[in-house]
Amino acid sequence: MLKIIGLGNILRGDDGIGPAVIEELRTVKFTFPIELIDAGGDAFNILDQMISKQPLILIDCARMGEKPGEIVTFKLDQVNLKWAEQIVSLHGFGLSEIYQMAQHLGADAECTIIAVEPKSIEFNTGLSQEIRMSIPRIIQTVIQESKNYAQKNINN
Amino acid sequence: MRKDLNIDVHHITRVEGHGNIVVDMKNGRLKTAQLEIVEAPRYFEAMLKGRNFNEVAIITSRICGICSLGHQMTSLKATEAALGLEISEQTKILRKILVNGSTFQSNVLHALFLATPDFLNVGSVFPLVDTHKDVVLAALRLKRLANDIGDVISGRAVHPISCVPGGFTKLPTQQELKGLLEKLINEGKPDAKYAVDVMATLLDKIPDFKRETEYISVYNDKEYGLYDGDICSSDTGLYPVEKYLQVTNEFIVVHSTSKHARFNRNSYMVGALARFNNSHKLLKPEAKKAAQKLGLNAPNYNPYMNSLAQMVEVVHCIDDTIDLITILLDCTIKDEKPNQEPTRYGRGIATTEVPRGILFHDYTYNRQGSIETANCIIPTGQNLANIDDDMKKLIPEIIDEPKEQITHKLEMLVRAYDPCISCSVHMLDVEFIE
Repeated sequence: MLKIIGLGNILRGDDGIGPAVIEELRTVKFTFPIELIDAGGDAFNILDQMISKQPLILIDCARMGEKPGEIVTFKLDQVNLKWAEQIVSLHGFGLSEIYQMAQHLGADAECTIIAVEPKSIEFNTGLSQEIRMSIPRIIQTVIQESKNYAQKNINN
Repeated sequence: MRKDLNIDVHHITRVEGHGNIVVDMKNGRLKTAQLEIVEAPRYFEAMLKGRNFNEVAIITSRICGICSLGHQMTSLKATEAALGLEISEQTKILRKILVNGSTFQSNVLHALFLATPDFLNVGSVFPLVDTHKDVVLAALRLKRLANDIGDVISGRAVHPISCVPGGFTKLPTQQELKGLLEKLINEGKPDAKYAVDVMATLLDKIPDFKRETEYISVYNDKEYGLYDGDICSSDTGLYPVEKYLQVTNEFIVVHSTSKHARFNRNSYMVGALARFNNSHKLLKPEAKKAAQKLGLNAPNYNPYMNSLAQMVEVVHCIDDTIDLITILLDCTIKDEKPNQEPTRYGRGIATTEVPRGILFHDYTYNRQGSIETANCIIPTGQNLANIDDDMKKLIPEIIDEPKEQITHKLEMLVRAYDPCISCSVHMLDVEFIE
């Protein structure tokens, strides 16, 4: 089972890209078992998923200095922790801290981050046009990453 | 005795809320002791204006990532009151189960992940992963159990979709409820007991501080007040929810972008300790035992004990959920459709206890079923004046302790209230100015 998780608050502009992509993915037919999770803004939801040993794909917006709507995909590991620090969650726990905590708790699930550069995360603004335009590319990225996981499982 | 003290605990980055602790004492006179809230206003009420009654609860559930279920419930009840939508007993029971789940989830995470590091003076939860791994895992199992409740009862683990104005669009099966019941009995109860046992070993770490204040919570003479009831003041008794503005009396202060509140005194407290003080007689027997084990007797005037009251509620909510699911299984789930035929359009006011305290939503709908005006009063705002008053009493009592210790106790005090800004206070850089 592959878990695909959208992080973010739909009331906060482009921060809502994670949940928006999850809703789009509900209409996609996958040929292997997946679970779609709208985790909102609570970092502890991610911690819970990370220690469950099943591979994860996380979609969230992140300030990376790219153009709004640019997508950066990376594996979450010690090397990439500084990327993960850009991803903000509630209660003072960022994704990098959650990842490190999960590692201490014995997690070894593979975690891929699909990070999207936001234009605005102001309250009550909805997704910007740049981010809306990027949704098909994000969906394609998710599907490709999912296929990679499926292929790996078949090979193993 | 120290005559001068200046503390400026300031935090800016990487959190949902921003809070600063500012203390200024000169020549033995305490000029300032306050929690500054510098977060920009979000205007949730403006977001609701013009929205149809079917959208409102979904929007409000996103106001807060942690209290999302509580906002959703309060919103649904306010909409139903405004539109004259009656709901069934089955709907009420299902909602109570959801409220229990979200309460024990939030309480256990706060008590064990955010407050316990204070008791052990370790700065954050991360060192606990190595030293107290079993209790961290128990807390995470309890969180997952609450997510399972959300999944079974409302269609999703996070941000429910099937609870709508007038009822539920999808109902759990008997089989799903039985599975949940087994998990609550076999995992939830022992994990909660274990967490209480661990907390009981930390009692000597809790600062010895008392300040009697007014305690305000939902009160219901049939059950521990969480899902519904009147407003209860420990000073002057019960008030119908429609009179909430007489109770909250919000006012503006210079040092906070969030309004403060007061009723019969200069300030009042909401949250787990307020609920415990007002409704402790209605706790389930095992929760009463947990309170005894944690040295929590009502009335309790130590705000640091709020985290212990939260753990007592964890035990209560799990046992109450077991009882509620048993009722549903005994009666078998009826295939009811949500009642979405408004009988009137007007104003509706509702209250629910969310983990951090009493929450109010107040909506006025037009004849098209869209919101014209809305007002939401959240618990953290209601606690702010009380936190300031606690600091004013506490600082002179601990003035001769080392500055680091004073700062630690002040931060710990703020976090004990489990405010939505607790994260920011957790990550504060502390600057002393002599």
